[in-house]
Amino acid sequence: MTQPVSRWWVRSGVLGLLGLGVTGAPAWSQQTPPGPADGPAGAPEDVAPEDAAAVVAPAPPAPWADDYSWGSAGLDAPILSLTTTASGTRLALTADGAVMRSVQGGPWRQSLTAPGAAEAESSSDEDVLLEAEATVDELLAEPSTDATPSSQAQSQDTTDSATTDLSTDATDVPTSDATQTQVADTDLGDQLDEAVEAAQEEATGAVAAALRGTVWASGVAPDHLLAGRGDGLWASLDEGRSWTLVSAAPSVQAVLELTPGHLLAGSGAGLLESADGGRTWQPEHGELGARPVHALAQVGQALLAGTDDGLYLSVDGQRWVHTADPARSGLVVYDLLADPSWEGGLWLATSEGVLRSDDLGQTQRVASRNPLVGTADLLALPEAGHLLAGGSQGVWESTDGGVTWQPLPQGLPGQQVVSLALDGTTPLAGGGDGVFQLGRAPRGSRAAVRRPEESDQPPLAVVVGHSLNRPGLDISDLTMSTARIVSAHFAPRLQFQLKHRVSRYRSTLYESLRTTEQSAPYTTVTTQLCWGACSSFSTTSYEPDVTDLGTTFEDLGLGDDVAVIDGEVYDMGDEGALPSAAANVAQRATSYRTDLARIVSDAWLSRRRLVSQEPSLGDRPLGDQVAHALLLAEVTARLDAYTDGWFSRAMSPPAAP
Amino acid sequence: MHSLLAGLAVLTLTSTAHGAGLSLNQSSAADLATLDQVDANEASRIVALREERGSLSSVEALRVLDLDEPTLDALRIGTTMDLSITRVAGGKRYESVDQVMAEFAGEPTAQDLQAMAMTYTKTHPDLVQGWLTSSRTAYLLPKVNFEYQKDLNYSDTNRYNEDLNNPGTYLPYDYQDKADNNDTIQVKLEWRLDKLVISSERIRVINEAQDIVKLRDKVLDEVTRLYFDRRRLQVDALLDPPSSLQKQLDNELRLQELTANLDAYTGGGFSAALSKH
Repeated sequence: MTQPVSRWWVRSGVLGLLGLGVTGAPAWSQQTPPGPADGPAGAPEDVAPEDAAAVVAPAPPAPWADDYSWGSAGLDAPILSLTTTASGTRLALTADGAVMRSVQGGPWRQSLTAPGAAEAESSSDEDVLLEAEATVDELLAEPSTDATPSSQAQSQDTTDSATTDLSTDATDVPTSDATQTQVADTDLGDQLDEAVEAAQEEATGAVAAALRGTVWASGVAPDHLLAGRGDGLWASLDEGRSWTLVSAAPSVQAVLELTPGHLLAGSGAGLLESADGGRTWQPEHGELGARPVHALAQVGQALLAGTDDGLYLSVDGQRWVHTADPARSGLVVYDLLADPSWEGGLWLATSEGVLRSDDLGQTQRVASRNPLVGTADLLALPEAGHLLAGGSQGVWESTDGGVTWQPLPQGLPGQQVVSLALDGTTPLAGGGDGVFQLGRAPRGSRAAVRRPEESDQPPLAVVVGHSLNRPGLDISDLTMSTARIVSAHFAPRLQFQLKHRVSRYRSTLYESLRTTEQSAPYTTVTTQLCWGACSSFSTTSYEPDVTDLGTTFEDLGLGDDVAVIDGEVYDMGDEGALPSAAANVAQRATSYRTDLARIVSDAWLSRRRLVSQEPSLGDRPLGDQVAHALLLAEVTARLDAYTDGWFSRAMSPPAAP
Repeated sequence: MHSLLAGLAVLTLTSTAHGAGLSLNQSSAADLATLDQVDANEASRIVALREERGSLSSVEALRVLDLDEPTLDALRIGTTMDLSITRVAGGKRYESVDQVMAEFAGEPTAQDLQAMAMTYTKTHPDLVQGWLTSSRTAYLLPKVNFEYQKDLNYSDTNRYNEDLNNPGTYLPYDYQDKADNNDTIQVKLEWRLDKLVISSERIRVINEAQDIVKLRDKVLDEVTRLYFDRRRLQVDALLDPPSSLQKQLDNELRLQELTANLDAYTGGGFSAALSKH
């Protein structure tokens, strides 16, 4: 992939001239994502050198949502986990625990049978023959890959010996025995026999169907695979042709390769460690205990484990410490992704959505206005900052390191995605509807795809703004700035007094027969400005009180102007208490506004996604179409509820004159 | 919906919550008046409403009559509801979403329902805005103090002169009485200009307004959910009519429950709006 000239110019030219490094900002801020296998989407690769000087700033990244759509990868069974190997083999763990395998995008073949499903399969000779045929196809297809004949032979030898080793080691595992090696690829006849035997063996020892699991491919040893499911951890050293049970640990959900041969695995019963490339596994006791571990990541020298109880950190690989962000108690971590382009950076797929941490998980923050709650898997693409998130809302794409996300819904029949993988440069998504791969949308269909930006709903920021500024949630009046407090103290009381007095006096001297009478009316008008208490105008004080406080607070000596705000008592007659009371009210409002912004953002994004799916609904049954219409109406009604009806009014066409 | 009624078999069931109760849709006003807490006037208003609408969907629909809670409780306990099961034979075929939605064109929209709920629960934004405006402008009005004071002083005095013949002796020569009668009227007007900047009342009103907004959001969220749960149930009944009587019964009960819940949030406004159409 050619580096965009504009990026080079900006980074080396401008920043170099200014004497500034680029470490102050994430590298992805300058980059443009390439497209999947069939070519880049919008990357300025074709900029001629002579035009480079004219390029001042890079073009904004062209998201895949514009031109790409998902197409079936040939497997429609529900998927728990996906992975790929460097040589182009795709592996999928299905919901029933089987491992499916596809070589070079070819048909999917069952590589490891589902627990408890072998009885039915063993009764069908046709299935056995089909499996054998698949193996033959793979063997015939192998030379067409990048392996030379000599290297292939070497690989074959290695595979044979590795398989033997695994079988031997497996005898140490309580629930395994040597017969659990299912398919050996030495001879077609042997394969048929062993497949039948393995199927019969499994039929007698049926185990519960797997609920969760993973399939993992080593980045160091291309042929080394692991598959965790309900009945334990299985290993393959021949790129998925044969499998051996190596641990009884149930539902391994995450594997981390620390160094070649040194592996960590997170299972439903705690952490496992292997020092021999996965042949033997030992439970790692410590602070993690038997807590289910959903995700593992290495950030620098530190190890991180995602659990139902949040994030755990180990700096020495031995002791684990709970890194509890006080702001996020009860966090469940489903997936961890170390930022390959920003040392120390980490994305977390959690019960609160996608979070970002740059301090080894000590603090986590929502990086985007849309936190993508329900994300199950994160995938970093080769270009820095280019991410995919898969979960209950389908697949979303970010080209700026998770700050903004846009949906990639085209072609995905359902919304539930649980696993993402990258096959070369082609993203794969697996979920309840099978496995899908991203490719360029057919030219005719592009026009039919309605871009979210073209939907008729008002911009997100405007909708959220209307929601947050509804009467009662506007906190501008509570902003007790210094200037405001001072101005309140300097604002006087203005008093106006009108006093009219009539004094009458009468005196009678009876012996002198003299009477004196006087009447002296007088009126005074006084205007007074006073700061603080106006003592000379003291009158009976009356303060309106909107809260019925009873006598309790008076008994406490708090006076008769008391308010209770969020459990705290304020003597509102004391003007010094007003700033703290206002701050408390503002804090309550801010907390609710934060929640509200998330709720409204989710609703807005859901509506946009529903609108964008409308063109693809034409072929769906009427029931699905009506269900979609009802969802759209419901999310619109919710947006109306949170905007006092403004949303629908904004979308309604103006009335004809 | 009316088109569905042709050629249908109708099954009527009666659900009795407390043994022998009065049928809310069939009892006379005199019968209803026999219930505790229900007087003759209320009973006749109930019957009038029922006749106006044809039938009542639940006791909650009676909230439009402004009956008090003890009366509603007595009706909940003492009456039964008729449950009509409409057996769909064949059903109607629909070709488009609009065709399906047209079946409910006469019903109030979710937005109509939200407006009803806001009004009934007294959480309407206009109410909150009124509070806030009042709290902002309240201190433009002065504090008025009116005082009337009346002072009455009376004194009487014997006046004495010294007897010149007997120095040191005083003899009365006159009697004087004095009366002071003072009337004072005082009017004081006080403007608290400092309170125009910020006042404790405004802080408290904003605090209360927040609670009202939160309550409104919660109510409207629930009302919206109920509304669309009900609509989905209706759509399911159209597109995929239940095949068994038990399933039909379950659906109808659920529909009545959702209707009653919506009436509870709207003071019976939902059923009233349905009856208008």
